[in-house]
Amino acid sequence: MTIFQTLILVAILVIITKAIIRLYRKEITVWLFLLWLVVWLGVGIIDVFPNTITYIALFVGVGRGVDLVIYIALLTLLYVVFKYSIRLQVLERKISSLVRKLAIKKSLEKHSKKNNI
Amino acid sequence: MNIFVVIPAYNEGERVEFVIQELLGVGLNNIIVVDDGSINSIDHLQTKFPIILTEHVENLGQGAALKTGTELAIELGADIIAHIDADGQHRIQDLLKLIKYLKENNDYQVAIGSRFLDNSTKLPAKKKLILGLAKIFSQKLLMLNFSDPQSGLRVFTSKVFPKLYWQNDDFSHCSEILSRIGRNKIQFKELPIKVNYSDQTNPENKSISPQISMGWKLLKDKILDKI
Repeated sequence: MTIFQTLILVAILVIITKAIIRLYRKEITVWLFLLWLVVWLGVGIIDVFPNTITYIALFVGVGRGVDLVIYIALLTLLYVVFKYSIRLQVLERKISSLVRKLAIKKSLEKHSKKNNI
Repeated sequence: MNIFVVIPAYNEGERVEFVIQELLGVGLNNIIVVDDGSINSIDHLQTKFPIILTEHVENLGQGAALKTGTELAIELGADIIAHIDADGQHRIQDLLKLIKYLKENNDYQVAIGSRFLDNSTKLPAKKKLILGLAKIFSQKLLMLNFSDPQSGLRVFTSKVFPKLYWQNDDFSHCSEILSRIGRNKIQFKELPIKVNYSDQTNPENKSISPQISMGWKLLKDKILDKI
């Protein structure tokens, strides 16, 4: 194994340990933990046995293993960014609506109080 | 007829007091000031003047402030709602002109002040250039046929508000309202107004970049068919 491969393996171990701690502290759900575990175990397998990815790449029809990894990573990231931008927009709308409703409610309460006196 | 004036205020300080004084002076007594999360509280205005103050706990933008003010006005029984800027750039006689027009012409639902119907406003050269470009932009690209696409002085009936109900919280609500007028085929009238560009509202001090990013945002909204 090269130094590069060893470093990646150590990094993966650190990441998985952290995820376990987070799961233990209930900061993440079990499903998110499992997804995270599968992703990093996958990276670990590719790291230790680089040829596996080449076989998969040839199987699906992409020339090199590295290319396949890049394609999948890019598509996944694009999807995640898209999803989050929508979530952010929804959140902004909700905050805006919340702030505005609060302002109107408070003013109406104050107004009706004033009129009663 | 119940007329309500809505003033959106964000870090405005003293200038908004002049506007309130002027409005009270001409008998426009229903004034709603929307504090859009200003850094320094403007609660003192409430004790000084007979106004209704409503406060956004977070800064949302002028469009959102106007929406809050308008909804509050309608809750309080407004028939006609007027929007005016807090910085004193609009003249009260122009506002009265718009209100009078809506009162006398029942077919019309919206009256908008336009800085370009006659040449009464002396604009600084830089401002003229920006507004000129904005006009070409909105007429040719956004297909909005209004002489002043960024006008902040407008008066409308409470009946038409559901059709105007703008979604943009920031300054792009101006164009959005106009596009809703066009799309819903609402009867509107543009009337010439003059604008005071005093030292306090000196547009030379403002940078161009907000206008450019606004233009980009409008174009994006247009492509996504939001306005």
